[in-house]
Amino acid sequence: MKSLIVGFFSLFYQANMNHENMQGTGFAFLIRKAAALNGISLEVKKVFEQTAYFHTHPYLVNFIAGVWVKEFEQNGEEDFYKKTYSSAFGAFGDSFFWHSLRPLSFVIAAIAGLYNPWLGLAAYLVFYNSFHLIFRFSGYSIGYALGKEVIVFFNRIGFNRWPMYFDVASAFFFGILLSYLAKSCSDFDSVVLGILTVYVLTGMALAKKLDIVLGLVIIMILTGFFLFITGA
Amino acid sequence: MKKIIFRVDDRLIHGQVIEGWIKHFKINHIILVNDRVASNPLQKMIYSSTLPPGTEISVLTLDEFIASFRSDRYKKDYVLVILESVDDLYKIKNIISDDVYVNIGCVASREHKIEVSNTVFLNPEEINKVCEIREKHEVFIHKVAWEPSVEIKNFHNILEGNL
Amino acid sequence: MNIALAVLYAGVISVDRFAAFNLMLSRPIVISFVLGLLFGNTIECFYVGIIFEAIGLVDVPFGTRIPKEDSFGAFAACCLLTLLPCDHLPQYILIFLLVLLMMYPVTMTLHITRSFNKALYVRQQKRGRIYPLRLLMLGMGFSFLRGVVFYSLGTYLVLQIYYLIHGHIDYHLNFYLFCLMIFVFLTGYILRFLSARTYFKYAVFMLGLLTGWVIL
Repeated sequence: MKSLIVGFFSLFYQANMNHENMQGTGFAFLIRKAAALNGISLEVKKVFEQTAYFHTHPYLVNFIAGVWVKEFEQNGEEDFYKKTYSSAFGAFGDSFFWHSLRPLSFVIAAIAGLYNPWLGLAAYLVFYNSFHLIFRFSGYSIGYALGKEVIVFFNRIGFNRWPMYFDVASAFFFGILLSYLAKSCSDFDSVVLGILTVYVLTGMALAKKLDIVLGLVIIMILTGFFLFITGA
Repeated sequence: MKKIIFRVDDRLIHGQVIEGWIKHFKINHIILVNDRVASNPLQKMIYSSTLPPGTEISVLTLDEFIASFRSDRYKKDYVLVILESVDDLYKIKNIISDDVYVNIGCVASREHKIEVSNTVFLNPEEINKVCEIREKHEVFIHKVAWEPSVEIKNFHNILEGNL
Repeated sequence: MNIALAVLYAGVISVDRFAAFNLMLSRPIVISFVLGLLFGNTIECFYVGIIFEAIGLVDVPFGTRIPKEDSFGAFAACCLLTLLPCDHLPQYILIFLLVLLMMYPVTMTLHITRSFNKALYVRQQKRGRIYPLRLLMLGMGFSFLRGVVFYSLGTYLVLQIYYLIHGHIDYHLNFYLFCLMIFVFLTGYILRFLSARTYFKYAVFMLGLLTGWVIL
């Protein structure tokens, strides 16, 4: 139950994000709530200290809250592990949720959405948030149970490998999506197939060299001009 | 981009480092230079657990790093050396060569620090140290590889309150 | 009524994007589904959604960086495709280009939001007492307002600029083919972005292409 409550409060903890203390304000708010649930009333000074610079992945912050409360109860090094885990969970979260889960959720939703927009919408929100909410709502109890050794949990589930598996799945589903989009295009023929191949290869060649928005602007103008000339 | 990257980042290994550098350049060797982490097995495990599969990490103390680092070993593959502070960078300044790309990524805001960029906050002493390193080598502020870097040139002006 | 709902949704998008929830109600593909269902042009909105989503998949909010406002892009483009009587490709291209351009100032408003949050925080810090809940509520409120004001204003400005400069070329070209070509180009970016062993990744992609071709 405590984990669910902390999970709920963590939904709002980023609202004061800024370059001075990043999510520090939110962490102070969260930790005060979490400590109160464990019967600890934090001093004003201690809460004030928690507003200092802090930044991690928003879905994994509750693990840190759990570790912090456990260490605090045991007179351990709560602020030391807070800093260490904020970096580590930033790395984990960015790699999995931002880098890998979003493309896979998108491609699944896009395939589903081609059949029915409601299905696409539901597919994205359910698929993505099932991972997001599980981590968010179970984080506090796992962090509290394992304390400073919470990293063991992530090693046990092989979390650093998940992005790779999800990226491979995304590559496969992107293939399916492109095939479907191409086949469902009324003007599709061997010339269009050739052009699409050139387009994907051009995208691959320019990626990491040219900003995506600039690349997009250039390709839009060229494509418009190309379609205008060919009358497609 | 030069193959040897020295990055000052007080968060050590975090999302920006993994996504903005390690995955972007497919770097498979990281050297984490930090006395505190090198002496703490749990911290070592925490940082190594966050790396993508296939990425090797060496956690060294400053002295071990100074004694073992040879820039001619890294001609073909990238290597990312992560330091926690400008003080640490200053301590190893003698091994910085022209083959090394020196960048300051993220130094958090603390009391009495001056905002150099929106992610880099340094105190006057640290700024002086960067200026000294800057006399021999270029130093950049660079968050992630695909964003433009800012070369640090006239840091003295910050101290004089001109920026 | 639908426009009023869309404006409120803009506020929710802005909050979900950086201030609270992070339930992905702000992803371009989700925005395009929602607005498509709201305005009744699901197919066009879908194609707009996949293009702006592709931008967001590569331009990610790692660490402290602020990515470009792909959510605004999808929101504005979906609204404009409904509001404007587009039936010619040059008009679509003009809309896309104007929206892409407008993404930059709207992204700047995120910097303003962070500066506003910082000012609030520093003010309390100087007084020696910080009220986290108050700061979070103000941050959320400001974020909601940012979405309502700047998303609507940005969309309105694009609309006005479009009326000012739209061309008179009368060629009936294929909007879906245009979007498909653009999306295929962006897929190249995404494929490079995905992390796995290079050859294995492309082999799996080819397998996906073949599977899609045979099955669908």
